[in-house]
This record gives sequence, C-alpha cells and structure tokens, in this order.
Amino acid sequence: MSEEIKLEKIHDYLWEIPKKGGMRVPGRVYATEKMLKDIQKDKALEQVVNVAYLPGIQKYSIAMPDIHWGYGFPIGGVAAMDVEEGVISPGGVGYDINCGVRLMRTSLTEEEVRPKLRELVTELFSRVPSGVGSSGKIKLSKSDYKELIKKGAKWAIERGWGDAEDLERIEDHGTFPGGESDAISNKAFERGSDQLGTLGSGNHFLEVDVVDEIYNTRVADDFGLFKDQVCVLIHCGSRGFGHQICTDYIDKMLSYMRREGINLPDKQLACAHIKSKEGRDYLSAFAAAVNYAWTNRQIIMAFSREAFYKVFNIGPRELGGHLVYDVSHNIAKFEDHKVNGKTKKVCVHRKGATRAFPKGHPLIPEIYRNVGQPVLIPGDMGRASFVLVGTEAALEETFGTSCHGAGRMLSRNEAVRRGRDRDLFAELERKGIILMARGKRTVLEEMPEAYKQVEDVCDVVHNAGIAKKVARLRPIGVIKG
Amino acid sequence: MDYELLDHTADACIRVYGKSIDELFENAACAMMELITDREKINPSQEIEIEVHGENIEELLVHWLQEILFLHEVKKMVFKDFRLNLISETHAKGKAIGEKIDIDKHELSFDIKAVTYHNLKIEPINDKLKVDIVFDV
Repeated sequence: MSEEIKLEKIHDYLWEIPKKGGMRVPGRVYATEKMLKDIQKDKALEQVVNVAYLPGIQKYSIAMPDIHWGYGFPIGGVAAMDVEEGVISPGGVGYDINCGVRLMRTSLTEEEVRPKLRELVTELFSRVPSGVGSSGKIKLSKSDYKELIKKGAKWAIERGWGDAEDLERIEDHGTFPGGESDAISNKAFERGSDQLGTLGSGNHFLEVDVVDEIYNTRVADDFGLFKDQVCVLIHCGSRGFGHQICTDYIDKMLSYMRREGINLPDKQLACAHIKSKEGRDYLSAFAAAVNYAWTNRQIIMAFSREAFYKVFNIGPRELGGHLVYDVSHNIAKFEDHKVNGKTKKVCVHRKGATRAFPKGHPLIPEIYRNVGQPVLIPGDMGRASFVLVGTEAALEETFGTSCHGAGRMLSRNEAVRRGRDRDLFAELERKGIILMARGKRTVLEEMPEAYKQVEDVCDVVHNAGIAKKVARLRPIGVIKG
Repeated sequence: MDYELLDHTADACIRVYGKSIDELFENAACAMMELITDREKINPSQEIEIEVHGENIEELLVHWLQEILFLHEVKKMVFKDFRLNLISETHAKGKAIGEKIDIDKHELSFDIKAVTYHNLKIEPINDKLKVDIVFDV
C-alpha cells in the first residue's frame, strides 16, 4: 500500500511527493483527488519514489494519471536522465520495447462500412495473426534481421508494405539509429524470427474505430479527421525480440551495479550509466528492438489496408488509408529539454507514457509543425479512444510527455472472476461492436470494466494542459489476442 | 503442487513454496506453466535438458524460468513436469518434460513476456521456502 506516502497539492490535477531518503528529486503525479484514492490502493506511488533514486534523474520522477503498479518503474512513469552522469534502465523502457499505437484514417464513413463490417473484421482477423504465441508468415533470416534492425519501418516499405509517405508520420521517421546485431543474443533473434506482422496477446489489439466527437475542429482538420470517419487503431510492440533484449540486459546491468556499487530499492530498476559499455550496448540492442516494433506496426497497417481493398473492392485512392501518426509509449529518447533554465540533452524514459510535443517543435513532422504532435490514447475495447495534441506546457513540465491509455483498475484474475458467466462477444455486439479473439481468457481480462474510464484520464491531461483533446474514437470492430 | 496465484493490477504474480530449493524451483516452473495452459492435458512424452547459471540463488531461479519460457515460445513446447538438481547456489541442471504444442488440445491463456526480479526474494517460512514471482504478461 502507498498510503503512507505524503502528497502535497500543487493544483487540482497535480500532486507532489516531497524529496526524502535516497530520493534525488521530488515525485510528481498528475491525477484528480478522486483518482489518487485508487492509485493509493497498490504500490504505484512507492514506485514513483523508487525511480527518484536513479542516478542522474532530472527535475522530477513523474507519473501520469493512468499510472498503475508495474515492476521497477510504475506504468505511466516518466524520468529524464542527465546524459553525462545519468543512467539508462531497461526496466524504465519495459520488456515490450517500443510498444506503441498507430492510427490510420480512411475516406470511408461508418455508414459506408457498417453493411460489410462483419466481413471486414473477419478479413482483418485472418490477415493479422493474433493471440498467445502467435507466429506469422514472415520468417526472418540473419540477413533480413541485419537490415531490419538498422532501417526500421523503411525496411517494410522497401518490401512493399506501405508508402514513403508513411515514414514522415512515425516518430523519428520510423528509424532509430544505432541498431547493432553484435549487441543482441541469439535467443532474441530466435524469439522474434516468426513474430513480425503479428499482434500478440494481452492488451494489444487492432480496432476499426469511428470518429465520434470532435473537440477541436481546426486541429482535427489538420490531422485529416472528420466526424463519422472510419479509422484503424493498432496497438502492439516488438514481440519476443524486444522481450528477450530487455531480459538479457537487466542481467547485464545487475552485474554492472554490483561492480559499481549502485544500490537501488528494487532490482527491476537495474540500470547502467549511459556512457558505460553496458549502457551503450543496451542502447544498440534497444535501437534494434525499436526498429522491429515500427516494422511490425507498419506491416500490420499494410495488412489492414489490403483487407479494406478486398472487402470493399476499392483501391488505395478510394480508401484514402493515410497514417495519421505512430507513437511509442515504451521508450527512451535522447532529447533537448530545459532544466533549471538551460537547454540540455537528456535521456527521457517513457514507460507507458506518450511524447506530446507542441507546434513548432523541430522533432515533429512538417505536416504537423503548425498544429502540434498527434497524441494517441487507446481506451478499452467497449468504450472509446482519444486523439489529443501536444502542448508547450508538456514541454515545460513533463519533458514533453502525456498519458498512454486508460490504465488497468482490476487485476487480470479479478476481471476473469467477475466475467466468468458473461458473454462479452454478445454484449459488445448489442452495442454495435464486432469482437473477434483467439483466447477467451484474454477477452475477459480485457473487459471494459477492467480499465479506468479513459475519458477521465484524458480529462486530467487536458485540464492540466499537458495535451489537449482533439477527437474521440468509438470502436465498431475489435481484434484481440 | 504448492503455489497460489496472487493479484497484481497489470501483471501476473505467483507465490510458490517448496521443502527444498530443488522443489521450490520445480514448483515455480509448474506454476508458471499452469498460468500458460492446463497442465493436466499435457502428455509427458519428451524431455529437454536444461542447464542454468546465475550470480546468486534468486538469479538462478529467474534464469531457470526464463529458459523454460524460451523453450515454450521458440521450440513451441508445453511442459507437464520438471526436475531440478541444484549443483551450487549459482549452478543447476534439470529437465522439462512435456510435448509440442497442439493448438486443438492445449489452450494457451497467457503470453508471458518475461520473468521479473520485482521484489523477488527466497525466504524461509516455517519448515519451507517461499518466493513471490511477478511475470510481465
């Protein structure tokens, strides 16, 4: 329980955990008073405190309103490290390196898609492998890997999965520099070899959504979004390849910490100095996994476009299947930020948190430079997801970061217990949502009530000003693992 | 089998007991496999040898489970039983006994991404050993 951790109110949506013990900086939590009561039920705040122990952390150990209990870092945690003296922590990125979300818009409306919705969801379900242990048709050889881990999404586009236009709408143009095979174990290569173009299971999904409400017409217009428009939302990451890289490097960093005499409250915070050999090696392997994840989402989007072409008997021009944006919410990025009035390079760990840069920022694509970066926040499968836009306040307060999702409220076991006698497929269908999934258990774990209301989470970041609401998406077709 | 499932908001957590380190490791592997699928339905027809090293006993446990997870994911196997022989605090040999995954027979309910070190500590309790293990799922 985190109840004994003291919180001081900064304003209605922001709370501070004062520095004490081995904390190098204070903690900061974005939430309403009501949400805090839930957050305090488990160990999430203790984890915010633990992150503040990490060498080189700058300003604050930050938690977003969708914060929940993880291992090491809380999920919904943000920490920026000094590049010279600070550390990189694989646990601060997560096992699913570059897990993220991408949104593809279309020119079709709900009215046009409804009559063939079941056919469309069936086609998507057969083209995009999902579920526990899912493997795909793409088999990666050593030489494929060698190129893929350096090129990222560009590798997929060179093979016909997408257009060059897609690249400018992915963070870092879909290529993270520095991917090196020497830093990666054979186990990681083996785990990822047949998983490219697959969703996996758990909270990963592919959804057909409808733009349900627009909060800011000008920004929505710039993002190419309009009311009743059909979109595709994809949530997945680097699969077994990334999981194994994180696994391998946590061990390497534990022995580095023993050698260097670094003591931290939780082993899962294992880290190494960014400039150390272990730090540099991790970053090379990490870059490879980041590129794998972008390639994965790129291929799944290409499969989705094909499904639309077939079911509606149309071509690319009629579909208008343009990528709106692709965000990474398990990542570490080297970025320039203001600390104590001076701009410096820091390594921003975003563990279940989304970059939210404002208009004018050089790292966002030219097409969005006058409006700001699209921020994609998936909710649960029965209610809604949100599109927001990055702000100047985020850049000042949170190293340009916002929330990443609804955040779980029930444990997976509790959700399964509560849902045992329910038919979620039929329940969702009555709400006009077609659900397809490989695993019955996954569907119960992912039931809407297992999550906080994503709207409440988005309202906090909106009211705190660290991202602004643009549009709400309502699911009509859901594919789960 | 001496273990229980604990609630954890985002991930999966098990509490395992054993009369010895060997038994604790074997029970932990069974519990992890039970999370993945119904062990009752697994035919113990194939044995795979496993050898693991670690810098201490906790790391050895995590490596043992990671190795089983790797065999499950890459060799597409499910396991009914495990044998472990502790050679030292940093070295163990063992085997996993099971069969190839048959999707019609073995329903897989969890994709375990990794075994974590979060709060992992082997502790004596009464005449037994106890450990809590958090998995990223």
